[in-house]
Amino acid sequence: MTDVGLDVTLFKNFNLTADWYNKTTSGILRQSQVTAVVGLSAPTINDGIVNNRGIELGVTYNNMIRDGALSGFTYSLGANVDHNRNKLVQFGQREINGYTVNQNGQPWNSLYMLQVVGIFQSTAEVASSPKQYNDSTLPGDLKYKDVNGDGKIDDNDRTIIGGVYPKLNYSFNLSASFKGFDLSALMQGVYGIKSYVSGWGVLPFVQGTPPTTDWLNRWTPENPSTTMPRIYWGQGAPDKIARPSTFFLQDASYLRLKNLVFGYTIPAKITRKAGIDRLRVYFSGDNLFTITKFKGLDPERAGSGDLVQYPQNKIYSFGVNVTF
Amino acid sequence: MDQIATSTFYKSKGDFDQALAAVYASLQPEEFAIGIGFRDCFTDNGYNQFNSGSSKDFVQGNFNPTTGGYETSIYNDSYTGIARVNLFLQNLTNYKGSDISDAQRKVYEGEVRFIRAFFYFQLYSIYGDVPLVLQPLDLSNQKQPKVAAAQILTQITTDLDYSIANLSTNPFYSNGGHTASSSAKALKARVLLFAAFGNNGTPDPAMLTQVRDLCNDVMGQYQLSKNFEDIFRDATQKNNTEIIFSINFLAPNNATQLDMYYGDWDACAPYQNMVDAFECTDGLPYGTSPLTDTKNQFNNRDSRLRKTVYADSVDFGPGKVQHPSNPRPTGYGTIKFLEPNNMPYGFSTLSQQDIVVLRLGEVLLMYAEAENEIAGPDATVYKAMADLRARVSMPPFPAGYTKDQMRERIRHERRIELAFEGLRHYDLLRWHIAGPVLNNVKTTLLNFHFEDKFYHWPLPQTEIDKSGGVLIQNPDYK
Repeated sequence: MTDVGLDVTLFKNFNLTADWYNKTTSGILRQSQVTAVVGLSAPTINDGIVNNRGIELGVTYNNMIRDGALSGFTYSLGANVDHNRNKLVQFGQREINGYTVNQNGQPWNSLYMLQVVGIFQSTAEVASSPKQYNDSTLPGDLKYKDVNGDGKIDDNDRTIIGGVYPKLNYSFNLSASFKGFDLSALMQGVYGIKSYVSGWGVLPFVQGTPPTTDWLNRWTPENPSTTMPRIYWGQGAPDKIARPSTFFLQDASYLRLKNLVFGYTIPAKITRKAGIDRLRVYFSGDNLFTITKFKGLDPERAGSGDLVQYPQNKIYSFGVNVTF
Repeated sequence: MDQIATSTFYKSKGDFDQALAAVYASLQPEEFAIGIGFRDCFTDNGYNQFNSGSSKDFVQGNFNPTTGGYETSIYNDSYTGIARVNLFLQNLTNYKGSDISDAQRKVYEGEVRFIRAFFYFQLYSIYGDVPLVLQPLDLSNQKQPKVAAAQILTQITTDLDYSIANLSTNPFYSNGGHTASSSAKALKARVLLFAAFGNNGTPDPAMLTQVRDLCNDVMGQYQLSKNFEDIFRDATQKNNTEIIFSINFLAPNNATQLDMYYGDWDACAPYQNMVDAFECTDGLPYGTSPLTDTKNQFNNRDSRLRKTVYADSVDFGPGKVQHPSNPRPTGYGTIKFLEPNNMPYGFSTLSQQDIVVLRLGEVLLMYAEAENEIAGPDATVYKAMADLRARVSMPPFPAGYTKDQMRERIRHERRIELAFEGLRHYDLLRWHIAGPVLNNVKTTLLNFHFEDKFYHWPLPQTEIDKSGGVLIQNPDYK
């Protein structure tokens, strides 16, 4: 692993840390790829090379105001961001697993599926577009992209879609204190990650699960939606709606107020009269709000496959610190 | 440290008996065992809402080298079984101990070569040209080219001839679960019956004569089970005089999810056209017969209907009713293999029903089909069919049939008698009627689309990739 870093303090208040790294892991313990005619489980060997390369940046600034009305106000602000790129340098033969693929030159478990470019609005549009598999495509069904340009849509039109790993991980933090009040906050976010979710809670009526409210805007001849296709029933939904495609790929980027603490320490001169050295009351909150486009419950628990991963809790707590 | 090292194994007859059990165990993957009903979901018989084996993809014509499902697992699991046989035989040849007599050696070899023939027949009938592997392989020679299907067929018949000559003359039901000579004869008949129809559906009389003679031999040793359902239920399978070979399970360590899949999940849902195919008790087709009861379609029907299919819930009588937890997409489910005593069916149900691979019912049908093609509908053909139908109280075929009429009745009878036993795909392929039959299936669930290239499945793309150019794909799928 190569790491080039820089740690700088400027003007006494600014701290800057920057790291660039390039890590190549080789001889990875894995099952070798053996042809099926051998008929035995593949031996575990050291093989394969993976590369991770990225940048991490961190900035903090802290200061205290010494004159004026706000004298005594201390604060510090910080921001961190990092970017990582993962690549399979040497994997072997391509392996497709459902909607992911492992192939040389691409990130591990890259997303691999059809691209949806819209929703058919009329039978004329269906007729003039490439034939999609052997479906009986109707207006209101998903329209896939003919990636290889051969005039028909089939499994060969699946491509690698970016976003299995985030482009950026970042966070902001701030803390401040002034005359007995203290405040700290941490915001954390992820940018550029996609999550594939299908099945229960996404495909309407799978094993009785009710559809989500966005299906109220589904395509019907009276409501020619360009965003939600025709609705089909559950587990038996035809492949033309259920097959892996970018329709089920959601942007799981988010920015979340991870933690907020606001407290007040009652002045010592008052509390000492009761024999208490220090009395602080505080409010603390976790996961207070989230900015995200993800339609599921928790983009941080997006995982893959099922929409309804149990989300993290929002926590509100109030407390008292007493020191005798 | 839970597995035995090769260097300490194969040192006694006991070791070989254990290894033999492992060879038999290679028959247990879903596509060969509890999934035989799902194999019929690749045809006009049933619908698998879970797309087990990628049956929905196949039936809609969205079938290519990366589809996966049974396209990959039949290939992979067949070669796993073949590798076990090859290893067993190699170790047997190298073994010099005196606790295995020469006679026992021949029996061992006969048993495993039967199993190897079973797997090569799966590969032959589904993929056509495949690699022929008769020795254990390793990393140095793992890239094997394919050979012409005819060579595979020759190997299958060579293996089965050895088994026929060297296995016990006991019937299977008195042979402790080991294959018998009659098992190999019945399998050989099934193999030749497939090969006899060649590439265009016109049968070869010489092969059919072999089929007929093999069936005749087997028919002398077995008797039809008195009750149809006894063939498939655990308590009545052990000494059942109809079973010629079965894949055996035993709870709790070697149990399956058979009851849950068929009885609770409705993973094998018969189409309406399958239900309609069962005749009325007078032997006439449903709809034509005066006994047709459109209000209760299970009324006045061939009793095999209610012993094969259930409508909406599994009902074996008071206290033995199961309402499947999944929707019934066709309104029906398959009851043929369910065990009433295992209710309620769920994740904790340990099913131990054996999967019947070969039975007298099929042999009678093979006999009748072969003899009809060779000599026309003679008395023996009529008798075989009459015996089979009498078991379920169905009347014999009317006298005076032409060869063509008898052929159609026999083909229809096969569909009814062997429903969901995994042979419908095999039948449609060898009679070369897959296109006309499948492309005319009417159902709202999916669009059937069969192309002639689907007579052979593609070799899995992962295998083409891993072989680095040595294994060539079926040219229809380039």
